Amino acid sequence: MTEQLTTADELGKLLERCVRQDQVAFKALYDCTSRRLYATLFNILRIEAVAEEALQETYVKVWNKASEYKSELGQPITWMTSIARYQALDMLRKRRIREDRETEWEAIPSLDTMMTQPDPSQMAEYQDILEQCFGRLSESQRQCILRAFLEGLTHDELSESTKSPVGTVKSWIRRGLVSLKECINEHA
Amino acid sequence: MNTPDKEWWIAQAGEYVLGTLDYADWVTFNKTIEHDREAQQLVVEWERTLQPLADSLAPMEPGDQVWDAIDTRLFGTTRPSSSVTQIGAHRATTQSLERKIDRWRGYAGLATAASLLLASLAWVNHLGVRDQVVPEPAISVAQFDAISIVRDAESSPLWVVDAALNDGFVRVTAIAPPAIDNSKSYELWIVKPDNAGVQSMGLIPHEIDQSYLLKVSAVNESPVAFAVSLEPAGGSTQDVPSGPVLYQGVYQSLKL
Repeated sequence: MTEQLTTADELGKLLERCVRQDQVAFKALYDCTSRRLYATLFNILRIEAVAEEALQETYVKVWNKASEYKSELGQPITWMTSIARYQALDMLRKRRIREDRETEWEAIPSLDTMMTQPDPSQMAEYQDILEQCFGRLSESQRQCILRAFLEGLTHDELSESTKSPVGTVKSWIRRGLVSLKECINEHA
Repeated sequence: MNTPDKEWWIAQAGEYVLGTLDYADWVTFNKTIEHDREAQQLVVEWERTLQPLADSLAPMEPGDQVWDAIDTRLFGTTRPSSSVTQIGAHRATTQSLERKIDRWRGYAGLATAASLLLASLAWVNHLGVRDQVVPEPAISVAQFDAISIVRDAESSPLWVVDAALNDGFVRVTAIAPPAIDNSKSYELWIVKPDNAGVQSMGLIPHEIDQSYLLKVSAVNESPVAFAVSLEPAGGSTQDVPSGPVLYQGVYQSLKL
């Protein structure tokens, strides 16, 4: 079973088997999803050793919390990605590894570039909507939201990156989020 | 979900998911979503909304040792190579390591000063240790040429390891190891490069400020890391950890 061929239903079934303490299913779930979660973690943590540690913690939580997963929480990969991201953000807070990150303030890739990866979760149509809605935001709003989500940057780091006051950055993010939400609701 | 207005909640939930909330706000919102279904729903919606961004990242292959470590932690599986301990330690980027070494050198200065103080400690007559605990005067602090700080998952330092592996000495000082009862022991291992396996350095102290100087078999090749496993009292009866490998620290040479 490869990542590309794994549907949300299949992942859901694997999670159900994890609830029944099925270790084979857990390994299959890991094989199906670890590369994607690791990419998310590495993008935020920037150090392989730390990202791998976070990946380990993520899957321990997935195993221990599999019974808490419900379809109302989104697709399985969304639930797992959230566990991974919160793990990474928590590690950033607690470990203060920001100083160790090899953050380079390079320009954010264009949305077109970022969105060209295959989407195994069958959300292509929704992805179009999201891309369209991101396109409506100002460049500053878009950059701040994308970098916060993908790289785990704080207000302060975004302020430094954009050479703008922290208050301005906060405003960009909050207004951008509200605009994004309105736009997505329009298409819903 | 009461006042402030709806937009405030949308933005707050969005920032919670992004991770940009200040810590105090994050804690407050985290508490809120435990009992407020509307706020929880907003978080779920944001997670779903932004998921395509995560999906857009090119997948990356983690090291095999990650699964090994998970397998060991959850199911108690052990592997002969004990590669579980090598999580990325040898894969950290050169640039990152160079910066860390600078910091470690600074730390090493402190450690050396601390070592001078520790030299006055009575040596520990540690029964049941495979490798010999020796009196402090057996080695001068000047001979230690490497250091490692073994940390927990929160990055808190648990032990400081001073090493002179060519000479066959390792000194382990407990900083804040988690308490264990008498039926357990902590055992220190070196993780050899190129998946060449592990080698026991012996049992290490589990009481704060306690320091053991261990005489070990000389090691000619620098390891990539030290690792600590939790073993039955007296240590592993095998040449590899028999209990879970819980902690690790990168091996940092102090040679110029």
